[in-house]
Amino acid sequence: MKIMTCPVNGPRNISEFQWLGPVHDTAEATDADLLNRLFFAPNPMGVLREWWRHTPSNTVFIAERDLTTDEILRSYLKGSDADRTASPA
Amino acid sequence: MTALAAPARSWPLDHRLPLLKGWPTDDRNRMLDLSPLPRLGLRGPGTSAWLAGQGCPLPETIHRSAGTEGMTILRLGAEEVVILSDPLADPDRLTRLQQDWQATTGPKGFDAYRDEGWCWLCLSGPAISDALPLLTAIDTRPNAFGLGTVVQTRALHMDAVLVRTDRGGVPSVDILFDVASSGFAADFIADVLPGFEMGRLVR
Amino acid sequence: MNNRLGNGWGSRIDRNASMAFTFEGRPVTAHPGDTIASALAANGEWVLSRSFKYHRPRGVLTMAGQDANTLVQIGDEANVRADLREAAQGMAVTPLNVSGSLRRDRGRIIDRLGRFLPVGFYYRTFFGPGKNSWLKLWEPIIRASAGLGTVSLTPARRHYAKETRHCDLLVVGAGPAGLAAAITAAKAGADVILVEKEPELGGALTYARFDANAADAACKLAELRDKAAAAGITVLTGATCNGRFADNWMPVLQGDRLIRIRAAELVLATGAHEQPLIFRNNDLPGVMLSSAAQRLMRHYGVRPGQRAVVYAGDRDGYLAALDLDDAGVRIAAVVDPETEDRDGLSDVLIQRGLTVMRGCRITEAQGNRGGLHLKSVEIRDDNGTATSLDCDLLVVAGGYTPGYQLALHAGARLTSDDSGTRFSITGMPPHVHLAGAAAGLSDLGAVVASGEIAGTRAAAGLGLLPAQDLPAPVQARWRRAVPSQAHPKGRDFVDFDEDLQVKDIENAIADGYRELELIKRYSTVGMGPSQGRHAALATARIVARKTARSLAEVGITTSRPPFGPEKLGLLADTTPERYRHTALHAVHQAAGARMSPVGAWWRPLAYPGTAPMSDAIRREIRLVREAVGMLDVSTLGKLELRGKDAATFLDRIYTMAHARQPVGRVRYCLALNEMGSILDDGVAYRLAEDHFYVTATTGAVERLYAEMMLQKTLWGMEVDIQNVTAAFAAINLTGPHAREVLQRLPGSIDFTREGFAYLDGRSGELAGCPVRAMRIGFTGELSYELHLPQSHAPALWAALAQAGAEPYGLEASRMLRLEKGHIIIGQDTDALSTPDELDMGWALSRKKPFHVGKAATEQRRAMGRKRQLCGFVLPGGNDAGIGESSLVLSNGQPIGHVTSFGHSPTLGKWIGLAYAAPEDAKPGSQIRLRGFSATEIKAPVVALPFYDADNTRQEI
Repeated sequence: MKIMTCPVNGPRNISEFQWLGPVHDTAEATDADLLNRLFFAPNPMGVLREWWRHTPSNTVFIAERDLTTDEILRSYLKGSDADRTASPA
Repeated sequence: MTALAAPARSWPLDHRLPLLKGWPTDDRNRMLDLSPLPRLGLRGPGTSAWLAGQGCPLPETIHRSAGTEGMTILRLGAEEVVILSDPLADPDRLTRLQQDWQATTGPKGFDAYRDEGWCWLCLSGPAISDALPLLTAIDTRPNAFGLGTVVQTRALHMDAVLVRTDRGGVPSVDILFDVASSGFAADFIADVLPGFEMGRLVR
Repeated sequence: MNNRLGNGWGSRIDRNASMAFTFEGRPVTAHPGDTIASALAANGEWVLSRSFKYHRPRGVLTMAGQDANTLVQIGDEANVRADLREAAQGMAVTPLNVSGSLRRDRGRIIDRLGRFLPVGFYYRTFFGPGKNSWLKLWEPIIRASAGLGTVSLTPARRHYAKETRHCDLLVVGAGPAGLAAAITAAKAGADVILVEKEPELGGALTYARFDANAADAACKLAELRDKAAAAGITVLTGATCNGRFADNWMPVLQGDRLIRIRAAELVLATGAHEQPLIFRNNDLPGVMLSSAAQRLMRHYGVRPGQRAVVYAGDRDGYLAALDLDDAGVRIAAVVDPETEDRDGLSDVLIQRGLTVMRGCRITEAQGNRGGLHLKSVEIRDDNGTATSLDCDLLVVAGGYTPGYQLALHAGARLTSDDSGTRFSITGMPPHVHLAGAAAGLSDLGAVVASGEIAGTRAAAGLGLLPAQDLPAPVQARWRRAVPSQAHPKGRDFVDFDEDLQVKDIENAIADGYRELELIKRYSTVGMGPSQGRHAALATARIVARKTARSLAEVGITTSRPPFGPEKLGLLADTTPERYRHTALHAVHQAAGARMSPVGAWWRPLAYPGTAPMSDAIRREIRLVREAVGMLDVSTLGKLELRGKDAATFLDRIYTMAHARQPVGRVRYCLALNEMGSILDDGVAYRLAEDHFYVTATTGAVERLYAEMMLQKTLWGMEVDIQNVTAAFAAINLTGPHAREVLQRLPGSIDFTREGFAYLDGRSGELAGCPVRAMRIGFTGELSYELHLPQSHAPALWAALAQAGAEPYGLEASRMLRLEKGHIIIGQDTDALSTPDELDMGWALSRKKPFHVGKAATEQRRAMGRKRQLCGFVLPGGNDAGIGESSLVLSNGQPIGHVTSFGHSPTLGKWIGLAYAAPEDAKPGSQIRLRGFSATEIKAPVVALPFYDADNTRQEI
């Protein structure tokens, strides 16, 4: 049972979390990249940024996961310092 | 509000659990339904400022609780609190606080309806530290879950808020969770903690 | 027959007490502390089971629960390991896989037919004679004879407890290495849990001698036990750690309790598994591992045999011989395959008068009549000269494989050097440490030291000790004994559980399966209860030899959880099933409602009392159409949106225009996903400029709420969104007399037609309860949906009942809304449904620049529609057996299906909604339906709604 660290509640069993999808560059897709966004899931040999929600506290945050090692590198709230220094997926 | 007497409120476990006259003073292991007791949940901008203005000391950090004047104040977020009345004390202060809040017109946060949406159980007794590992997967060792700790997690297979209260000097934990699952929670505890006696308080 | 040794042997038994149990109905005496197998051995009963395929007699091999020979049945409980389970008074133990009796098992004939049952034979047989012979002849035979143990279909309920514990350090295995690690870390201040599968601490120290001088081990055992007791370690005995999952999440099985342990650091001191030797008839009762013989003697005070041959492929063979000699067992010879004296223990044996045969191998064991026990062994030297020795006990010290399983679960790898004689575990992940025999060490001093190092490194990982200058973890590459060649006559078992001989593996290769993974699947090697513990490496070596590759090239099959057997009761959630009740649940039950689950919620289908359901439903439909009924809709999703961006947010989430929705008005909301498919619907009541109360469907509210939380974060809006579904109850009061009922109750809300128009929302007090009332559609009659804090619901329901309202249930509600052509999300919609397919284009605001799904809607509109939802009626009765999910056909092909259907008492017809081809879905056309009786009929398409086309009744 993996541990996911909620930026507000700390490390918890991953069963307390809901996955909300990959972080996209922009909040809305343009017509051109809508198909891409809906039907092609990013699967990089490297780090992916994803949205997660801690269901007991409804905290929505971003986690960075290395898809080759399945290691969760760090997690942070949108707008935090960590978010500002993060590179786009 | 009109002058008509408000009809009695009902709670899911009313028909199921025996009504106790007051807080039990022996040290048996118990599950008590405290749902009818006064409580107030506030959230959103203005919450902490309003409470501070009322002279209610908020815990400095989130996920801590503080006790004062017959109330236990749980801080769930920067601008989110739940205030539980102390079953061993007079609920006057909380009742007055609720009335003041209704009367306030400025920023005061929003009513989070925590007096309706949650069932409020208190598990108390000497067997608490052995019972908690059967109910939740978080670290409940004394250094991780000491007096005054508030945790938003899953317990009894549901999203729940746990707070270590140690009411009346006896080890105790209060659990807040979906009111519609009250019956299920009582079934769960009866199955997993068969030695725990069950009862309820209305005051 | 009494095989007990004198005092000084048998540390676990209490000789002062006695008990009796039965085995196959025969009485067996035992002492407290005996296991079933040790008591049977003490009573001279060495045959415990019959093997899986050939039904050969089997007995004690490991005496540690690491083989399947000892599986027995105790009453309801199947597959109990007799060498682990403590004997108890009155236990009724029966053997498995036996037809008749254990000694005269009728299945033993199969052993003679062995040559007709080669590896994988079942892939090529059972095809005849005659058609259907599989179903009629073979399958019943195989079903009756396959499997081990009998499952009771009426078992007594067992209580399986599950708990979760946290600790700083979990040490798996309380042998010398584990104890040393636990003590070291505890002394540094760590919170340590020590898990041991045996009933006592000490591991091999409790039965093995480690050196010619047996006192050393005993001393070390006492010392470690004392230190552990003083160190404040939490000890769990009789507890098996059955796997290692992500981030050191470990399931520990202790009786009927599953303890999930989350450990910051993990030490694996899981010891090593002694390996059997491969030779002809190596499965005879009386052939056992050296550690098994030592356990029998030291733990249970049982003499393992009268006259022994000891195979010393490993130093432990010499030590076991010393133990046997101390216990008074006659030793015919100690057989050592090496010609050199590498261990220096030969002299000790020779001084005691024992014979040591160097450079010799065991090639065959012979059994007595019926093969029920060992009688003699054949030994060959390097020149091929054979010697035969009489014996009833062959003690095999065949070397060890470390307990690598948990390490491999953690992601480590088992690697070997090219010659395949030296192995090591590599790639241990952080926070996991290896110690003791699991790391390939065998010298007692080295084992203890490695435990101390592991404990130190774990404590450093916890920040309790400085991280600089840490001692490096020790690992040794362990030696594997020299393998033997296949015996020409076979019965030289590689895998005892699956009855696989050397030639079976060789034949699998000859059948074309060269890769180890394929051989495993083709032959089933390693798939039995011992999970390759004894077979994996031997198989890999055979494969390497036969395919002329190195062991490193062949690889070794990995290990996955579970490590050992685990009961389903330990894994299953045996707690009560989750359910949710509305505040009116008790009221419904008292009124004779038939309740039904909708997800976790329970809702009233109808209130039949003692009448048939169909009558009750018809009565309730009439009640609503002609008088007034009330429906508990408390399970509806409810969301509270507050804050300055509330209206803007709603406008972006839903398709209709909400930004300028007037305060006090209620508007339908439709939510799409980014693909343009319908996600959910409901109504939004604007209570104030910055305050909306929004309803959603019971089934979709959780998903919708999660979407809203994500979108709010993405758009960075200032709006508080709270899911208040359970906090508010809701009652739908509907029927032409609804207004009169409400006006009979005291309250603050003006319910007159002028004061409260269709799609108005009003908040105030009703019968002393604070309510939010909304006038909406759905049933097609005058309707008020009353939302109020759930604790007030029973009081309001009672007041409404007194004022003349009667309850109606879900079944009636579904027909009432169908008569009005209203869709139900999830019933009339699926994951692809668009508003266009449902003729709900009116719900898509054209003026708004954006709402979720707008771009996709436009693209899909351009692609054209493949189907269209339409209303239809049956011209007459329903002889064709039309129902929900009946197919709609176009040109003979299924194009859609019926989504809602039923008999409308109001209209006197069968009506329904269905997806049909767009060209057929126009009122006036016909659609072709296939009923469940396979009859096809044509049904006329009609305009919606079926009832009250002008919608006048709901707006009175």
